[in-house]
Amino acid sequence: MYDVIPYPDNDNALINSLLADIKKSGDNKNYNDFKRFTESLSLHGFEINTKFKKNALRKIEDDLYELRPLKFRIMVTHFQNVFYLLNGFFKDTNKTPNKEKEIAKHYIQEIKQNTK
Amino acid sequence: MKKKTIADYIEKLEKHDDLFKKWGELFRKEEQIIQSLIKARKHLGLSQQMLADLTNLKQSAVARIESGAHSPQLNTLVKIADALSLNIDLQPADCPKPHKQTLYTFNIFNTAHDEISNKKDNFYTLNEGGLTDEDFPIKYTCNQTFPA
Repeated sequence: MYDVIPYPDNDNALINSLLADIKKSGDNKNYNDFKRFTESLSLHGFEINTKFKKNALRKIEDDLYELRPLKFRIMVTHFQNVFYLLNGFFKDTNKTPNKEKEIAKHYIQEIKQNTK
Repeated sequence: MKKKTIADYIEKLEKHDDLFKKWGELFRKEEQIIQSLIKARKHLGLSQQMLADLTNLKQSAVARIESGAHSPQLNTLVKIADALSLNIDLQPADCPKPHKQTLYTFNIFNTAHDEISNKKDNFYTLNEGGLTDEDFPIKYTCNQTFPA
């Protein structure tokens, strides 16, 4: 089992807004995806692509990964054997928006500083 | 201090939000179906490849369904269930607490219950390692019927 942790903490997690959007979508398939992908990440770690689903986790840049269910994306970073879930968003283009990347990178810096 | 994992997060979410709670229940129902399929396949001593051959699917498709990565179409689900000698029964949800009744009686060599024995023999020949009580599916009976 791998540690998969919403950042900063459960009450103020960045993925809260994604969950609000999932709720708004009214489609429980999105919620199933959210659960399955995050659970698989904690079960398989980086082997998720071979053990769960192809292209489920894609590397964007150093330390920055995205978890890729059908309708939305979750930015993930891996630091000191822990997967941190950062911001998540519903996708509307094929390209990861720069805005979301910048948000994720900002929090990656924060994680690195805080856990030293 | 133990870190709050995604599992804790989801648990809390479903505790405090009615919609997520409902969706969580639906999710668990899906998981139960998947687990039943896996269990039945293993009881029959079949590999994913063997099941794939029986149902004209690819092994990878069976793997995807079993991992939950892909939600099968209704005809595929029926096809798989049929290959595993399973019935898909829909029952009224407000059925009184299920009365557990074992579908198979216990003496494998007792031929009094012909139909039952045949099924059992099928299980038995496919799985010669020996069977225990737990290897036989449990049938839930419900007296309630659907409204006409």
